[in-house]
Amino acid sequence: MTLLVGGIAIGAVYALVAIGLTLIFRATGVVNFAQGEMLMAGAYTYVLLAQKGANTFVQILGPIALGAVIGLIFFFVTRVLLRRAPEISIVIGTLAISILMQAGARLQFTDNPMRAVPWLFGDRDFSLGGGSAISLNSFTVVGVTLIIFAALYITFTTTTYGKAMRAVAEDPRRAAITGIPVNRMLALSWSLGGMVAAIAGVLLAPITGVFPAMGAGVLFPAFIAAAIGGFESVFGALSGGIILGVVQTYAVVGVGGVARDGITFALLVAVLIWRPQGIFSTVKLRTH
Amino acid sequence: MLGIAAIAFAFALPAYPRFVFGQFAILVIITLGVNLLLGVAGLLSLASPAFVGIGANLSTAIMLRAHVPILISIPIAVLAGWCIGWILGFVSLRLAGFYLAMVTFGFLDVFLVILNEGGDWTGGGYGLIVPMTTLPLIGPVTLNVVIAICAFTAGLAIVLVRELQRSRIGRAWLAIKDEPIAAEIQGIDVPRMKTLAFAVSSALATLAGTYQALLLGVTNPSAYSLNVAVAHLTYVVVGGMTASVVGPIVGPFILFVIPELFRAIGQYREVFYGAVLLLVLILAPNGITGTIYDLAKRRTGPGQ
Repeated sequence: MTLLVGGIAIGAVYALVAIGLTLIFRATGVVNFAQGEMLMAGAYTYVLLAQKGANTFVQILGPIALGAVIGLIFFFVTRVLLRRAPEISIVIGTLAISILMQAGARLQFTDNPMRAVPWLFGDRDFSLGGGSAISLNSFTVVGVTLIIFAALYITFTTTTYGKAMRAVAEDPRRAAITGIPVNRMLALSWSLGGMVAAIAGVLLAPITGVFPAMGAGVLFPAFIAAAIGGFESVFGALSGGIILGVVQTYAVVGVGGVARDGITFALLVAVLIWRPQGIFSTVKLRTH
Repeated sequence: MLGIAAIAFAFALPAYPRFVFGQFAILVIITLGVNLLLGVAGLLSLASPAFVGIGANLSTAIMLRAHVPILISIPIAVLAGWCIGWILGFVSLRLAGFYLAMVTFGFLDVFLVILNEGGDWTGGGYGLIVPMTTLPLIGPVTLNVVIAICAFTAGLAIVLVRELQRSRIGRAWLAIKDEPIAAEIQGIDVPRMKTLAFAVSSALATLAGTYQALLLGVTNPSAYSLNVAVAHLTYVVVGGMTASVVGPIVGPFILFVIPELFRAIGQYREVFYGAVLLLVLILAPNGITGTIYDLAKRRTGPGQ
């Protein structure tokens, strides 16, 4: 039971990052290689704020704000600065930024992990009787993820803003004709992606500790989760993430920690070859 | 010819710069491969360090375990690199852009896990120590011998890759890069060309890997990280993602040789690469050779 909950928790983190990836890709067409680093930035912000004794609200708002700002910076770089570049260069561009961010963090904080106290509930455990216990943090992680998912879902389907963003994602030119400020929507999408990543960082921090490469380890599974959603369906990203988290956790225990990356890789190849458009989407995938 | 000139140049240098030149030659070979894949065929792969690692580890492991002479272990490693590259290319046929990057990244990831957990075969987290070997006719393979081999091979590779890129195969790759659907209509066997590009690029990297093991005397898993993959990409982007072979020479020269010789970079290496990559993408997206090409086009104008 502890195992299952642990798997779901880590899966929720994957799902959050995957949701961020999906949001950004759907709106801008860019796959953000630096999503993991956005997570890392959020995590460091959280830990530093907690160290300075900030109260619980600030602890979560700080990373969110930072995430939004970072998202905007990315919007600026990819939309404005890299305008002239061929598409493949934008992908490489986000890769470059991710390396920069990781290296910067390494220079500033070194590779030593910083310990983080779980947000909201601290280190408390929930006893299941019979000797086993689940950390309350797992509930926090899953809870926050579900809330975010629900919030995004509602936003996209009911509010005008949400529908405008979907319009821009689907067809920027037509959206522009109807008067939707495309650039503003893109900036908004990037901000949202950044914020979601930062929150994921806060949630992941107590589980793995905070260190420069923490985002990189999550990016790969998150990518698979997003791929399961076809990079289009937020629900797909959510389910993909959780399934992946659970499968991975059981695989590690069953086969051994070494196999983890191999299994993840095999899953990625399987999804991309068998059903490249994702399991939850109806979009035809570009193959060129 | 170029190879002999390269050797002559190498030995005109004093000891440390000569060593740097050896590493430079190895990087040129790798970059020729990556440029072929990215700049000519338009395929973004992050797996290049994995093949360097395959070359280094496989050749060394064979020499250590089976006591096989170097003249056999290197071709075996390169052949393995070719085949694995072919398979990787095959897996990636239906993918493009970032999907391809992710799968190749995953490949690198798995490779690193294999290296670290490989126990005796791969030397675990520390790598293997390359044994002293001898070549027929030349005698013991000293550092100078290795450097000479690197230089000569680099010269050879430059010429060979240039010819390959100028051939029908090269033109097919360019067609695939620019307009894949049109290429298919014209009768180009796109899957075959793509897997071929992967195979050639991987073989080049593998060969360079075997040399690197000889040059450095050890294999070390940390030399095959994602940062190295980014470095390779940076060499190609800075040099220019074109079919010119000058790019793969200029890229590593600016990004590797100059910092090596001036040593001040140190721990800022990663920041340096990331920053340079980003700046080049923003300011000169076509790299050095690409920008020169653009300038030349502008000078002569259309139809002149």
